[in-house]
Amino acid sequence: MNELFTAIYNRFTNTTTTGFYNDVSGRMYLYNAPQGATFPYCVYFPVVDVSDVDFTDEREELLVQFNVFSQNNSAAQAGTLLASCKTMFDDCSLTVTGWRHLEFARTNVYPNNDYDQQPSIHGYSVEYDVTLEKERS
Amino acid sequence: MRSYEWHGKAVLEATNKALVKVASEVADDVVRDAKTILKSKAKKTTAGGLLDQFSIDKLKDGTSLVWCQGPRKWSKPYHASFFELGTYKDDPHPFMRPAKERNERKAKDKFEKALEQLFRGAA
Repeated sequence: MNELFTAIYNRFTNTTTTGFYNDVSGRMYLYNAPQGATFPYCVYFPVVDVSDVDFTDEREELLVQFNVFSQNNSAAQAGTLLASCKTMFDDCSLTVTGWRHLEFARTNVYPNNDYDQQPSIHGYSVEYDVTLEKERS
Repeated sequence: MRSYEWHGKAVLEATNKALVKVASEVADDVVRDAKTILKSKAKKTTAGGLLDQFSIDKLKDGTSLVWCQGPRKWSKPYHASFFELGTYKDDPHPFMRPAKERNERKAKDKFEKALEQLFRGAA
């Protein structure tokens, strides 16, 4: 579902001087971050394998997750990342080629910390329900 | 004029019994699928550690809670959540949520069928 990932990334890069893009300094990766990636950063991916969804239906529902991480002695930066991620994507409207985008609804937020690291890693996993409908010609 | 007995309590009990039975079956299906997905995604060592860590709790209201934690002997017994959500250094390998998604439609059908059978049988 490259069209959806492209649409998410396009929204991310739409405003670069403020908001989520600025907070992670443009570091948002699909599926996984490169080894040794500079903090803070974000990783986004489909929770249900794309291969499990055949996209032949008129309507598709997917679960997309964003992981934000910061390495900081305080949890404040991760909190800021979570807030700006929500501001950017909660109920947002995406332009997905070939599809009409119907919903981008946040469902769950999980803390995702690693206190064994020095400084500690603070993070959150944010989950969204995405609904798309095939565009009719 | 004919009068009908409502048998409300008996109807509710029978309905509840049927739904609890289906909920239990659905929970088993979710665990089975989660294990299959886990096997396909995990390295041998991790899969071995998590495959026998699934539990189904029967809640008071008759519903079932499927959960997976992680081997208690490990220093981080909540390992399953790292695997499911991913960490700053490990890629995510979701297995619980895909299993739930895979069974949502099937579960709805099973509940419908169970209720249909119950009320057809009673009619």
